[in-house]
Amino acid sequence: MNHPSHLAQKWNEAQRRAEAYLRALRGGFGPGERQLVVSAIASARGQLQLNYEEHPVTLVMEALFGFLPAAAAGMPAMTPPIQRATMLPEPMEFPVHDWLRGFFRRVGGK
Amino acid sequence: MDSFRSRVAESTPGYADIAGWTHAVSEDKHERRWAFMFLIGLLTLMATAFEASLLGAEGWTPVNIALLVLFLLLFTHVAIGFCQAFFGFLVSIDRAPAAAAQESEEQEFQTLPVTAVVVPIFNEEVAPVFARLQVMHDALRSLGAVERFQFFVLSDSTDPAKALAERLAWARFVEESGSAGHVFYRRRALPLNRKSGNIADFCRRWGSKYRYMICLDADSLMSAATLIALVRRMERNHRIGILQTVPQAINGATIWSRLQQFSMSLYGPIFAAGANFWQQEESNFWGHNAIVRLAPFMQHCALPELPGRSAIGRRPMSHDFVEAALMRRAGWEVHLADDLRGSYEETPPTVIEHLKRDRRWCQGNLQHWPLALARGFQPMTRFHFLHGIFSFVASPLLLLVLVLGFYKNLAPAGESDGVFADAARAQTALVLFGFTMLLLLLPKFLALGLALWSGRAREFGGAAKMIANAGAEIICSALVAPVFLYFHAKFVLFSLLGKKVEWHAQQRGCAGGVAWQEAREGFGLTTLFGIVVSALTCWLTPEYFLWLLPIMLGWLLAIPLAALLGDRELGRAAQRIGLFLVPSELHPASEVRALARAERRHDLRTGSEVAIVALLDPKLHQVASCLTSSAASDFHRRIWVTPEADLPKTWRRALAQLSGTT
Repeated sequence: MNHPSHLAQKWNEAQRRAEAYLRALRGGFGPGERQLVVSAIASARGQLQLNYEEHPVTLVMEALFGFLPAAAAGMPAMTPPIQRATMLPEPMEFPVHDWLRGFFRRVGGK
Repeated sequence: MDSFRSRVAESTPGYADIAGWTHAVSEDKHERRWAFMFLIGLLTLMATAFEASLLGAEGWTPVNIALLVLFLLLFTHVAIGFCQAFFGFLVSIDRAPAAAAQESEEQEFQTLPVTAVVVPIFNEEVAPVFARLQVMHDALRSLGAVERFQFFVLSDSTDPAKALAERLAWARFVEESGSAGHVFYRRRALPLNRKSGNIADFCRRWGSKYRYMICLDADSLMSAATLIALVRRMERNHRIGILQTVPQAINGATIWSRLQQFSMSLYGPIFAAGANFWQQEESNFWGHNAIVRLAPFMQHCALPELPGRSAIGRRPMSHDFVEAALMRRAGWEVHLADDLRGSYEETPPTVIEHLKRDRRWCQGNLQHWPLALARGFQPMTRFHFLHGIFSFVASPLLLLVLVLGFYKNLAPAGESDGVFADAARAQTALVLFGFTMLLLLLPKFLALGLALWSGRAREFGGAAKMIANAGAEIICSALVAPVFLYFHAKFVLFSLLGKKVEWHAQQRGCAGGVAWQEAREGFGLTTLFGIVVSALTCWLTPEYFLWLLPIMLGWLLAIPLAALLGDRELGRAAQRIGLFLVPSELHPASEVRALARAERRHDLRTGSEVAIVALLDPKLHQVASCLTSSAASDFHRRIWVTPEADLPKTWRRALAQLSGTT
């Protein structure tokens, strides 16, 4: 059985965790983030009635993840759109090299 | 080709197709080249006549004929270097310093085309790469020109931790600098054809979107003014295909890298000016710190396969020379912007790292010999190839001269009494030796004289300090030169035997010092070689031993030299007392100062615990999740939903750090 003071500590931890997450994610903590935390805690309190063994941190963070958009949604493009072009070597002639190779082949053949 | 060139010119409205840049090809190009070749010929002829008189007195034996031919080849190489410095000195006397600052005065950038700045990397330290990127990006933004440049970090990293760190560093950089859409990151899953393949891959995907590409190395840095000046110069002269800057070495933290940056700062300018004096529009490309006109580059500069069999493959390793050659073959100009400052690079911190780089360059240059004789190249292009080859082949040839000299002195009296047996001939030999040393050292004295005359000595800490440092540089270089002689000869032989060179990431900047253990492993054989040669010559040819002493001293001292020159603590001490002080330390440019600050910031962000941060930090995790499995995503959630008391210590600490810093 949880002592009320222990429970309050756990809820404090849950709040701090949610705030830390949002700060790291969004680079700051404003009214929007505060509202998200409040919503997540409210949702977690509702969940606690059903899962009374769960730690508030787990419940608050699960609720927060549910409120946040999909991970990759806000990602900037790593590369611009590809505009494919060819880059092929131009013909190259090696007359001296070819002559030497032929010469050594002839000498070797004899 | 002509139709292609006109098409490019037509697509750049607002710029007349004129050579508006002051360093366009001069009218007296041919006179310059004749003067250059005349002086080389004259010096070589004089020295060879001396040598012939010495050898001829002994009779023209096969050994003496071989010695004369070798002398002719080697002395020509020395004379080319001297003439380059000599003409560079003459040119530099009249020159006004630095051009980039003046060119940046015009603040209207909207007419400039958007230029790609590409940074190919391969398992590099991530923090310095992004620190340099940040300096350039911030500098361009402060000038209001950031919209005219797009940066591409082109990774070929095979180390997964490095790749992850790169991606995270990019994400943070883009997030914090608000540079989404200007700074891109691409990693090749299969790094085919090394750096040249990396650049070619960029060209095939995005090259057609840009008119110009500025190529940087992982250790390159350019000021915003220089980046803009390069684009402007290309816009003013539509005949230029490649415009190469002369980077200054910075951030030397060991004595070895400080010595190199001192030589490059003091002597480099006259050699570059000399190269520009006679090469003009047929200069060379060094692969980085240069701007490239992309359309002709993509059309003409794809690397060909070289004929024959090779253990290192048939793709040119030293791609830059070949790309310059192909650009020239297609009729485009390749210039050296030796008057443009604000271009920087770092040098290998230790002798071992330097030799590793030389080994790659050696194999790459030796690969060029079929190209030197291929159809369609201009004589100057062939010179670049042959000069590059000879800069390494000279070492085994010089060793051969020493061996033949030893053999001659070994022969019984009467058959060959040797040069040193006769006082008059010994005197002639001394004169010839003095003449050769003069040609080797005079460029350094000319550079010193120029710095004193122009008042540049102040930038090196004053005349007295500069002269003392130049003296120390000459002594150190002379001691280390035999080590390079030994290794270059070995590299050439290895290459001829078809031994492969692995492409390892370079240890750049002040990343590490060489330990005594490493020096013993790297130079143990060199020292042993020195001991054997010293003992043999001392025993069998005592007169010859004295002549060889300076060379053998280098071999005998290879281990302590390498260890001391590569020691970071000693490097710091050298910096404190002003040993090899350079202008970039005494009066650092704003971009160099900004780099030091940016490196510290990036180092904090991309430290060793990259994986932990990537899994924990929600923002970085968004990026990393593209790279890692869904299991990593589950793990990220599990950490965050776990109460602190149940978390392992590592994650508790990481979580506390993240919460504390955000």
